[in-house]
Amino acid sequence: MTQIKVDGELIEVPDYYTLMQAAEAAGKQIPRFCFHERLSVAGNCRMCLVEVKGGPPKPQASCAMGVKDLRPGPNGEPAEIFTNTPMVKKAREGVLEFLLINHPLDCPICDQGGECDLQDQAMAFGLDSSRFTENKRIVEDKYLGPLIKTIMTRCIHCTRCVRFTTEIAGINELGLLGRGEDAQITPYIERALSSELVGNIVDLCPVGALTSRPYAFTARPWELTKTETIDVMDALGSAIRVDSRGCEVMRILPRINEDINEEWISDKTRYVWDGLKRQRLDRPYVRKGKKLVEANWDEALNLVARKIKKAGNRVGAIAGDLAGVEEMYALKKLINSVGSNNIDCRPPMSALEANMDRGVYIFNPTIAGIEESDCILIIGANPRFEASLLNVRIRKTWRAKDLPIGLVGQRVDLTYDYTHLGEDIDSVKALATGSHKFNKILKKAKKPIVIVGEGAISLAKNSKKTGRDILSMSLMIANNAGALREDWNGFGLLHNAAARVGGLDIGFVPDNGGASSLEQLELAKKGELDIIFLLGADEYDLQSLDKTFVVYIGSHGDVGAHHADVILPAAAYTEKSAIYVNSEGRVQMTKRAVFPPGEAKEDWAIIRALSARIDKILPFDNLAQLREKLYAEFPHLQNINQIKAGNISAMKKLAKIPAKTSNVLLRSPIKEYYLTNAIARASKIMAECVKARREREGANR
Amino acid sequence: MKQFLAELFIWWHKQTLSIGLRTWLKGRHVGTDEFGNKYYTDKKNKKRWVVYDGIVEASAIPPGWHGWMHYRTDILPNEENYQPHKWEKPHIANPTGTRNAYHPKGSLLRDGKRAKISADYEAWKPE
Amino acid sequence: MLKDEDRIFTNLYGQNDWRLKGALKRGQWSGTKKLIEKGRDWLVEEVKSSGLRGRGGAGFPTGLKWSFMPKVSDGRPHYLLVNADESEPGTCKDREILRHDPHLLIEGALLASRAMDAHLAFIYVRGEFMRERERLEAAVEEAYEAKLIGKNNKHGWDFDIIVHHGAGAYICGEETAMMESIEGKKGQPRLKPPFPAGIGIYGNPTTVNNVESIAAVPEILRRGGSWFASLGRENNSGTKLFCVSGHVNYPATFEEEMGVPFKEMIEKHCGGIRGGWDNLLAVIPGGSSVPCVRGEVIIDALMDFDGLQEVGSSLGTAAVIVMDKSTDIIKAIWRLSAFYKHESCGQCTPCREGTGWMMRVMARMVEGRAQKREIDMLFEVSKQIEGHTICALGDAAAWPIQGLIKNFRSVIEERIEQYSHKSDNDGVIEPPIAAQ
Repeated sequence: MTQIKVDGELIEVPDYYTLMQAAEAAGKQIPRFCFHERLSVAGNCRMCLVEVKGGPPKPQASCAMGVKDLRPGPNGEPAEIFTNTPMVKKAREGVLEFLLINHPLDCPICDQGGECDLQDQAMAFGLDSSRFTENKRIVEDKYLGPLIKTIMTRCIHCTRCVRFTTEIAGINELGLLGRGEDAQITPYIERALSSELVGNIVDLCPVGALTSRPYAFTARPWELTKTETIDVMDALGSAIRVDSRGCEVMRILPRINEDINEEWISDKTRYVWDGLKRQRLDRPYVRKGKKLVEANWDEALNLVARKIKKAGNRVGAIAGDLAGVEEMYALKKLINSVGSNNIDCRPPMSALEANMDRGVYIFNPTIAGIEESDCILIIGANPRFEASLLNVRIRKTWRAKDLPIGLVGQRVDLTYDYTHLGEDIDSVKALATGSHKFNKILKKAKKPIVIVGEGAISLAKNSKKTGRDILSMSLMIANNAGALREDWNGFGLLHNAAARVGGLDIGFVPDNGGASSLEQLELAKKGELDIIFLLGADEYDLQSLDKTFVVYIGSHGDVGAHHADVILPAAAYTEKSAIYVNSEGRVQMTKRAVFPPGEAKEDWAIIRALSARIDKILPFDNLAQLREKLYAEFPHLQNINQIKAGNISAMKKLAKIPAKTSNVLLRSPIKEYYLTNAIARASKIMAECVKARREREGANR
Repeated sequence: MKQFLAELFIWWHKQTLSIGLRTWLKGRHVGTDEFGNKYYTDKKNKKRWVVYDGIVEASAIPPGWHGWMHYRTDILPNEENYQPHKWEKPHIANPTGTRNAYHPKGSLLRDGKRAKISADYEAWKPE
Repeated sequence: MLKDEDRIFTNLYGQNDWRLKGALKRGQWSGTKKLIEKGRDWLVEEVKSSGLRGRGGAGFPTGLKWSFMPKVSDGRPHYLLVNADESEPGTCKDREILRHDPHLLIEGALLASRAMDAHLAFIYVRGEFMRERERLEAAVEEAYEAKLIGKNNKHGWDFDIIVHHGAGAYICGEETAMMESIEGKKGQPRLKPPFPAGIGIYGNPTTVNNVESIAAVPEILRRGGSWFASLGRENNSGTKLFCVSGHVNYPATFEEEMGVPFKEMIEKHCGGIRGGWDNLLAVIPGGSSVPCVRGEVIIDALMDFDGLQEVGSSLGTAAVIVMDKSTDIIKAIWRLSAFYKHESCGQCTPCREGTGWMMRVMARMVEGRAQKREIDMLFEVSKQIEGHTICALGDAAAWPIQGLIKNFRSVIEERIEQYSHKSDNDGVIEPPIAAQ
């Protein structure tokens, strides 16, 4: 700790603080453009200048100068800085005048208007008029892909976007070319940026040079209703803010959550919102003859109720990737009430089973915990596309320290260096038996992490669950590496769907002779399953459901809806309050930003209404009562934003090396990053992203 | 009888009773326009008035007769050999408040359907 | 007046052999081993006592700079970086050393490296100096062959030289931009602190010295610091290469004692001012980046750091640009302004935006197409740039204009009046001469 005087106020701050941090600790606000907490210091905007007492007779950039760089006074008194002297005021006015001379006066047509750093700071610190009478500079706009709109004349060369893409996103495609007043931010090769995180440069840009292309000219920030909720596009549950106007979602922005996404979100999370307005199921449908025809709720529910009554316990249910805990709980109770256990929320051939300890299926080290780790082994996952923000965290840690990373699986670009350890199950076995080169590195590590992809544990060969072997061997690797300790649980299973951990937590898996999803589909083929509920389940092969009565409860008309006999329209994740448990096992809750379209209802309410018509009334009339029951049964779900830890000894019991393994290649299940769920598949923007990526890859070839 | 009652109680149909009386007593019919409105003047040619054919609507008087009615000219339009320019459109009465009134695009009164707005969602349709 | 035996640069004009043979004949590389054996502290002290101030423009005491290097290495190597990126308009002293006396530089680099525990020196040669680089490289080659430098050399101090050829950017003459350039990045200055003595090339402690400073070191050490200190005035000791250009009868680069009066220097070396001393208008005494001085003021000024400070300018690189009364002083300063606008790296705001603004206002003032109040505005804008930038280029761009306004305000006002009379008379407004 060291002492420093800020505007006469004596405060104590850590040695490593910069002058800007010290000033903020003293409650003084320092304006800035180029400085950003999570990026390297550039020091080029010169907006944060402060006066240093006894220093050189010129102001100093407070973002770059450390407290320890200051010399104490002649008699050892603490160094002193000023943030409100005439010199500082003059410097700020000067910098703002320079920034504004070549900045266009197009605020009325600029999308940044209302949330523009330059606007705000010009109001707070600038002069009232300009003395510049020459011609303004014009800069040609650049193409950065379908997500980013550029108006480069507005650029103030803060280089935040350059630093973000090179440091966080890990792509070297954007830079400052030219010099002097002809310097321009430009992609080195003018084509769509290849990162899945580029949307963040829109947030970073302090002016309107980089704006969101799909959102262009649609709304003003002050007319939007902001709802703080969480994202369901991947299993991380990034914190987001949904900006809506009336009944439509206008855009999605990140919120700060240091535990998960810091302040970034992936492009899928950010730009999926137009999918919420397309392909919507807004009224019930009933199949009459070969055709689905519009129906009313009464008709549809009565038909389903009749079928259930007739089916007895020949009933099944599959929950999809975006289902909330409440609706799965209600559906589970409904299926159980007719005497069936045919429920499943896992991908086909998953190695995870009922009554497995929580530690086996959650990401125990936590995302923030990655920064503590000193060695990472990835088995059968592509974290860049399965969990982009987790990948960001790995890259951040890799940049900060010497972090050995090993990968078993497909050789892909993860934006950081890793050792490729093989592609097949034999490499995993070698690691588990300790005969692999990488074992030495793992052994040395104090806090190793073993990341296992959901794809790897769902592998199958000749309908034998090979994934089970991978799961037990991975636990073995973790155990041998000392990752299964009470003070450090380094085993992390990486799921791909927001619904998964929540479903596993409430036991939405077949038990007591229930049939799994694949078995249900098999039964349906044989005609032994009379009715099947698809709770937004679109990722399964549903070809064999001809003989079965299919009830689809969901928000989007995707694969499931096409196979349905009755469609019951439900709410999407921005339209309901629902609990989701992320891959870490962290319980989170969404908030409703807008109402479901048309006649669509919230999922749990549909199931509750159905239960009344088959005379098996579920014991809750509203969401609060439902949650009461849910919390009574699963108490950990009421601790929002907390993680119930896994049991180490239970995990250790599962660790073993099978004698014989059938050889398969480890592959990530993500085929197309932008199209992983029904909402994304309905989105035009996502389709454009796919097109842009194909074009880029075509040009590379 | 119906005509008489209308003249007695309402003002917006053709003429009121007093106008009818004056027309009968003093009026001299000077002409009729293409819409059937009849124009009168008194014997001294001091007062001029119109008896509408149907609803009383001042804008139903075509431009030529409008000039005569307002004493801008004493020449009767039917006596003047005026050839309209080819850019002149036939006169119509102000349709405000009638079925022919103009409604801008997107107005519910136009065709009962509102224009698409950005908040509209695209519903899924089974093929 | 400098005596012939006190000259350091004895082959300044290339009249003798520049190769090793000639260099040895001129006494270079003699007793170097002994000097090195005296150790680091002695070397630093001797240079400190000589009062040698950096010859690159800022005039920071060289010995003091060397003493900033870490006394004990923390495992990182130390580097010497010799700044041969001489691009300041008007300056042409380092190139004479590079092409006519390269061994003086190499020997100096060896001694300086010993004084800061460095085993590797980089020499960053300006992009346009093609032939100079070839000579320097040939000389380095000779030195390696003669075992003067390299591993296990005669002098007992392992020492390597890397000659790095720049791409021709003025800003790469700034020490931290030069390091960026050597590292293969874009030549943009770094933020200070950290200073190069702590974190320099590739993050290792580095000292940056001008060619002339380094080349003067061997002679200083051979003859002793007191000899050097005895020349010139206190705090301004030694000899210096002056490069006089412009309206003198014989423009020249020559070595002269510090503190020589301006008039005496011009009379002796350059044959006087073109058209006589009454014809002298203004002098820029230290390369393009220092303020100009009115002729009548500078005539009696002493040409050293303090002497020129007294007349409101600075010695800079001692590149004296002389202008007689035929000069359009506004246009001359506009040209410098255009140079700085062209060479601004574009990293930080005041310099990136301000240099272009100043140049454009200057372009209008050359014609007189301006308002008188804009003179004050221009002065304020230059003050807004000065001291607010990362490196000194902002200051360098501001000073010539400040010098012009301080000394020749009446000329600008007169020009503006002339222009408004002209447009009053014939109403014709001519297009600007150089609105790029």
